[in-house]
Amino acid sequence: MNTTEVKRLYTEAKARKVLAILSIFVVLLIAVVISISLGAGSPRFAEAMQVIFSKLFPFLEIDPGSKITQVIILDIRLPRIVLAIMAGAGLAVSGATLQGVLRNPLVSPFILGISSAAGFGAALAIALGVGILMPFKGYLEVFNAFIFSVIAVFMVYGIARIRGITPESVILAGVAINYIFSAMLALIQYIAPEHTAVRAVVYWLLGRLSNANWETILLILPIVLVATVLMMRHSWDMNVMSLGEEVAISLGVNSRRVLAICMALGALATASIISFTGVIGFICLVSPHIARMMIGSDHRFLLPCSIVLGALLLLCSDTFARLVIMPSEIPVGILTSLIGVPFFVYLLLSRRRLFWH
Amino acid sequence: MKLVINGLSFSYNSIAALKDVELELGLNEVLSIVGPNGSGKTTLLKCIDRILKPNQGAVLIDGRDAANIGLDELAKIIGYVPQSSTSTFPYTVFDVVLMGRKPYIRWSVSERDKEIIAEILKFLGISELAARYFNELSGGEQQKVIVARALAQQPQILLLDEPTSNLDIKHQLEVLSIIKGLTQSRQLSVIMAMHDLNLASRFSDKMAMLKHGCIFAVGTPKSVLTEENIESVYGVKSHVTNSVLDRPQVTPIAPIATGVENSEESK
Amino acid sequence: MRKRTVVLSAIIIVLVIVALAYTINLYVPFETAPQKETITIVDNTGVYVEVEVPVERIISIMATEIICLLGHEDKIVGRSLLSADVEAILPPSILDLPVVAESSFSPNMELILELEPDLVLVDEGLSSENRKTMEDAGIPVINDMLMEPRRKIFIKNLGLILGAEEKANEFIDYEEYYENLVKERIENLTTSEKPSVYFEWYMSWFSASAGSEFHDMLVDAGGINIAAGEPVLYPTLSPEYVADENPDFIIRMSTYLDGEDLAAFQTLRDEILSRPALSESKAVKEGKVCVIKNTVLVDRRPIGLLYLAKWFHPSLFEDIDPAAVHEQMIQQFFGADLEGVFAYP
Repeated sequence: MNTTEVKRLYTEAKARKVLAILSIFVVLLIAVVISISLGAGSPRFAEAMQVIFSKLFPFLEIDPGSKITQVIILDIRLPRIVLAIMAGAGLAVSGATLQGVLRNPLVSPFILGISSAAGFGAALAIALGVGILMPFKGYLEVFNAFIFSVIAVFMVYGIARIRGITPESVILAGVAINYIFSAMLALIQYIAPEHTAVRAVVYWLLGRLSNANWETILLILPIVLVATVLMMRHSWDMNVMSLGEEVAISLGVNSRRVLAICMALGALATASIISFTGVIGFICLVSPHIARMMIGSDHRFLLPCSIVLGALLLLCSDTFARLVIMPSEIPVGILTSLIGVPFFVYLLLSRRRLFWH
Repeated sequence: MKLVINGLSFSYNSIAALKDVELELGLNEVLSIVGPNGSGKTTLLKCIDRILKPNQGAVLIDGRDAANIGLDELAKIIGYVPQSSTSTFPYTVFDVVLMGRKPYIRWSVSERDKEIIAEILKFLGISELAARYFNELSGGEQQKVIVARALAQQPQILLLDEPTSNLDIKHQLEVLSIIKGLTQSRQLSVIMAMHDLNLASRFSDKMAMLKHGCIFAVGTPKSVLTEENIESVYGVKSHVTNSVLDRPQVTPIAPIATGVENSEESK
Repeated sequence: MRKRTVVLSAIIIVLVIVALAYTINLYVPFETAPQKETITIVDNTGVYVEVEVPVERIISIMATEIICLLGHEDKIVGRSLLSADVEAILPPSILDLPVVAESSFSPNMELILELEPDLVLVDEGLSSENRKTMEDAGIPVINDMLMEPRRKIFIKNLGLILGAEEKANEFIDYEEYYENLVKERIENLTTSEKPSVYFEWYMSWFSASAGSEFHDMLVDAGGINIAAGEPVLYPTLSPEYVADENPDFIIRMSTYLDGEDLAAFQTLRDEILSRPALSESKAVKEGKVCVIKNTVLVDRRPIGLLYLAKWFHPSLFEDIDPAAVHEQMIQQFFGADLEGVFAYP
């Protein structure tokens, strides 16, 4: 192979990767259209398009249909779809980032213990009415969940620092924090003054998107967006770090600092999402894996691919969850856990090189 | 680039690995660091590249203290080839070599970056491997790729830790010839930690022999590879002759059983 | 320099999106119809709810049976899942109504909005987001409960809104009559005359301490709760403790999960009678182990009270047959025949 051929190899590979990401994005758009056309209520594709186009292009003076139709499309379905995309994307990119900086394809942001911490915070609010901050009424459990997630991350960081911030120390510290908060959560459930409160806590932990509204989205969006952009900026660092800490340093990457920063960013994005939605698992684990299978381990492409894949996965899961036993719903957290099962069985059985060796 | 090491000391917790090391590397020079297991060869290389931070002493690059040079900038000056390499995630050979360009890349890969990588691959004779996955290559092939990655940094100093331990004779000669050639054709100086005394002897301009973290002898291969030195440092009786290539050739004969400490493995 | 551009661009993008979101104004305010008469009540969450009357389309995710009792079942357009006992006494037309929510935790918002209700009744499981969505669409939401201390207030409020105050008061008076009856008869009992009771529900050794509704029931029926002083509201008692307390009575609450026929009640009772830790207790020896269903113990409290009071103080309540009272209540307020087992023995 001469040099021109070698160079072209790269260019072609890059084009293929970009194409893959775009294809998934197109599928995502199709999924959005389908999701907005389905629901327990009566509006279907035509009505949905009418409402949306009348809002986007008011000068065209399209009849938006009845008020009920508009509310269903714009205040119930659309926020839920947007939330699913945002949450799926945020969880996926956090998962990919943590896998990259911890050099381990089996980790997710939840390894830092934030799911138990968030659950504990929410339980504190739901069962005991105890809160730390309450800027907006009715959001007590959300802020509690978020603040305790942040506390968990600080605790992990503090413990890991004792021996130096390495993947091993972070993971071990995370496991410990996870157990601490799980135990405290169980304690709250035991001493809760109302038995409906216990049920409410269980319900919260299951993870659902049914409470989506525009306010929620506007609260989560900036955090997730900024965190995502900052995580993606570390793509090269993550690439280099997979060669080992020593080589990373020799290439100019302060891997401990990158680890600490990315860990915090991933935890932040995840915490802000699950504080509203409860614990939705597996998206953060499965999306990066599938993305890696499709597109390789160059994090410049892996992260965007995880983002669209995560959005697609969660959107499809949620749409399925709200349609399959209409008018009831399956909490989407249960559904995503079910995805995890065949996926990991497949991993076990597969011997392909496309995963770690 | 002139590299000067002053009074370098390093300890792992309380175990001293390097004591007061003084060394100089000249322009376009190949310097071999030799010594038994645990004498501090790898530690010395890591201290030079700031992978480990020395407890005492300084590494001066053209008079500047390496401690004050940012990691990014340092990566453009010093390239490090470790003894063995793994990657958690699967990357192609091209990707791995591309990572050597990290100090120069903000986000996108430029035409020049691609040019450099293609040239290096060709230079090392591994262009055919460009699309293969790194983890699937043989030890020798992987070693060449790692060298390629370090060269992609366009360094002025190349540090190699046991670059030939995984290679067969042919590849050993190939890799070392290439490296020696690079020091002559480009502005490259090389420090390599070597196990094989004869290879070191043949390809180095200068040699430093370490014993228990201290410099025992420094100089040309002829002056360093003496039977007395080898007996003192390695605890081995040997026979040193002049090879057909006009370099000292060491033939080990027998270990000296009594009166010599056995050095432990400590890294 | 390029780092800053990237970060700056990100911030600008975020601001643009936020601005867009506010300008596109995706909220859809409902037109205000010509003013009707409104009634304002305060619900359990302290919210002042304005309801336009007359109400024509009710979605009852709770209190379906109360609306039927008040005679306005024809106004219900959507309901939640109901227990078998409740379904048994309601008119069949109710069963045909669409189920729009399993419970207040998981309402199907699309269905609810499509039914265009003018009143929605929920309990505390409803999330604030869902409440907001309904209220923004102009639907009044009452978040309340049927347990004390809200029971009478809530039923009165419903009566007010539906214009069925008479019926509401009739029902409340009926319940109060029996509550007072029990209260008066046990008023002068001394502590030694009150039996000690071990109360169990949900699973073995799971009890309830002071502050719980179960404890209040036991006390109001003239009993003494051996778990009263426990630090946890729903404690799991140690078998040793219960054995040591040697209760005079054991009351076990059952739910539909335990089974609804007589055999199920007997099974529950037999299991308690055969527990080693309880074998020496007065309750087991004298056979004073009773199983009572949550439907009467919690939902139809006065009936539950009568059952307990009669078990604890048979001589004081010889003239009362709780089953008969139950039957009569259902007949009087729901026009239905009572079926099924609710207490044993």
